[in-house]
Amino acid sequence: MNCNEIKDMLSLYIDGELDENEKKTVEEHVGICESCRNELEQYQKIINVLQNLIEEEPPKGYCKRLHEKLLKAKQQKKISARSKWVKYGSIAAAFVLVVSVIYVSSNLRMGSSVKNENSVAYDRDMQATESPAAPSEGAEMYGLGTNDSKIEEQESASGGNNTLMKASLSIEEERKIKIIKSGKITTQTEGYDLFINNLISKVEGLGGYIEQNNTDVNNWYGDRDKKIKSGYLKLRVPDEYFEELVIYLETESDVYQKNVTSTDMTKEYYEKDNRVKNLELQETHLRELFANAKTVEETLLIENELRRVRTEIDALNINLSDIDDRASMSTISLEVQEVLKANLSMSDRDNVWERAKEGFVNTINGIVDVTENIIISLISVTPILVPALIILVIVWIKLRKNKTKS
Amino acid sequence: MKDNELWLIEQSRKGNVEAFEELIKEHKKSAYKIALRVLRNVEDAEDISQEALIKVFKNIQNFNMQSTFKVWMYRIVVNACLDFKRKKTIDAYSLDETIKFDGNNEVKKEIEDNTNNPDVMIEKNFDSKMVSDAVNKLDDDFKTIIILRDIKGFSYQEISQILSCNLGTVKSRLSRARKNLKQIIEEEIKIQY
Repeated sequence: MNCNEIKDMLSLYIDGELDENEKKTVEEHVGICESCRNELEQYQKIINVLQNLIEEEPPKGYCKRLHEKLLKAKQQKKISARSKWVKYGSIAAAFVLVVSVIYVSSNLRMGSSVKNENSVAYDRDMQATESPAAPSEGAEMYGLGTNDSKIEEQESASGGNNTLMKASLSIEEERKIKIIKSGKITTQTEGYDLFINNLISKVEGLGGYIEQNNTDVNNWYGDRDKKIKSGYLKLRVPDEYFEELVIYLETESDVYQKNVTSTDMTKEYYEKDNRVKNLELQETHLRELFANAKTVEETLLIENELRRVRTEIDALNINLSDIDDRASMSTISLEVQEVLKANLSMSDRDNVWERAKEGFVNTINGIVDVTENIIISLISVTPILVPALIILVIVWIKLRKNKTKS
Repeated sequence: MKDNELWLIEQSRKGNVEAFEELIKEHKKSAYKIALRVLRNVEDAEDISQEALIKVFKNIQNFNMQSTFKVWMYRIVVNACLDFKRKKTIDAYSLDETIKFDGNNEVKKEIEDNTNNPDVMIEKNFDSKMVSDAVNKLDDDFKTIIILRDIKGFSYQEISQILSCNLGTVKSRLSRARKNLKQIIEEEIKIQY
């Protein structure tokens, strides 16, 4: 080892921080090297002086001033401890509040669907009564517009078809246009029963019938005494009176949704018709074969084939008659919603005190409900809340540790 | 002693000022002396050392017993002093500082020439004032470690905890600090004689 390396080790040697081997090396070297020995002595001298350095004492009153500052700090500490409690307490409270609100609201949404249904109906009514003209008119215009153009299109198309068919298939019986008209109408009325009764007689007068009539009776929103009705009806009227019935519905009630479609089934109908005719030809041929059949095997084979053809004919015929039926009798799906008359006259109102009392009781009930829900949801979220709190505490402790380290 | 210290720490945590004063009885003057060495100004030393001790009092809840209380306390004191000095140097680069810096540079230059002439110190005695002044001329890192090791007598382990660095750093830094100190003293002697 050279002198420089030894000199680097002198500091550690003085403090006794070298291991045995290194210590021996340094001692041996210092024994023979004067320069390094001198250096070591110098270090020891300096350190000796440093260790015995007389240091300036703190000025008078240092301890007293420190004491006063400490007392002041104690006050602040108390306040900060309190504010810490307030801080963490409020954070915890906010957390609990958020969790419970989320829980309560989701519980309400799931638990009391009846209420919500009512409120939906109410909302709809509100919409309709608040702006009865604009949306329904818009819907009507939209519906009518598309509808009219569709019908016109159909007519022109079918007209074209007609001439074509007349030209090409004049030998055969004249083809009938098969157009299926159907409508979906949602409407509101103030007098449900009267409206339905009138409607039924109207439909019957037109030569149609009511295929389906469902009526529901619900409680009016928040009021057990008032009942409102809503219904779903399927009306069937002869093809030619379809438009008349739609217009009737529009005049007699407040239609706010209308969707009318016309589907041309002519092509499909006659394709099926032709297939039926072909199959019938096949059937007569098979019957001839059947009459001439000699072996049992032949008989069985032909019989099987006959059965297959017959089933197909039957299926097609059902299809055809269905198209016939739907084309001759149009369908209207009607949804009727009863609305209460706007009742805003002052005389009808309960007296102020009564209503205030009612409101007060309702609020109290609401508070009780919410508190119950909070307690229930708090208990039910403990599986989430407890681990979450544990994690929070751990994070907090870690943060505190880091703070002290820094 | 140790049990007593634990009890005092507990009491201090509860806000007992008397217990805390008992706890730092042996250290508060020492804290002042360290501050004075680093800051070289009586008022600053008092302010900063007391501020640091109050910080110790306020944060005693956060003391986690991973080191001894003494080491934890001195860490806060040393950090407070170094922080203050750093801020002060940034705020106003004092004239003193520049001169010292220049002087250091000169010293360093002449050290090279002096290495072959080490006898200078053997013959001449040097007093505590000269050593003390030399310490003041050291860079803060070196000064701190010389104060902690040679003046205050902390172990290497304790120093590594106070300065938040590893043992290897303590060893090499102390070695370089002593070498630097010796060179400054040599320079002083050369000028005087």
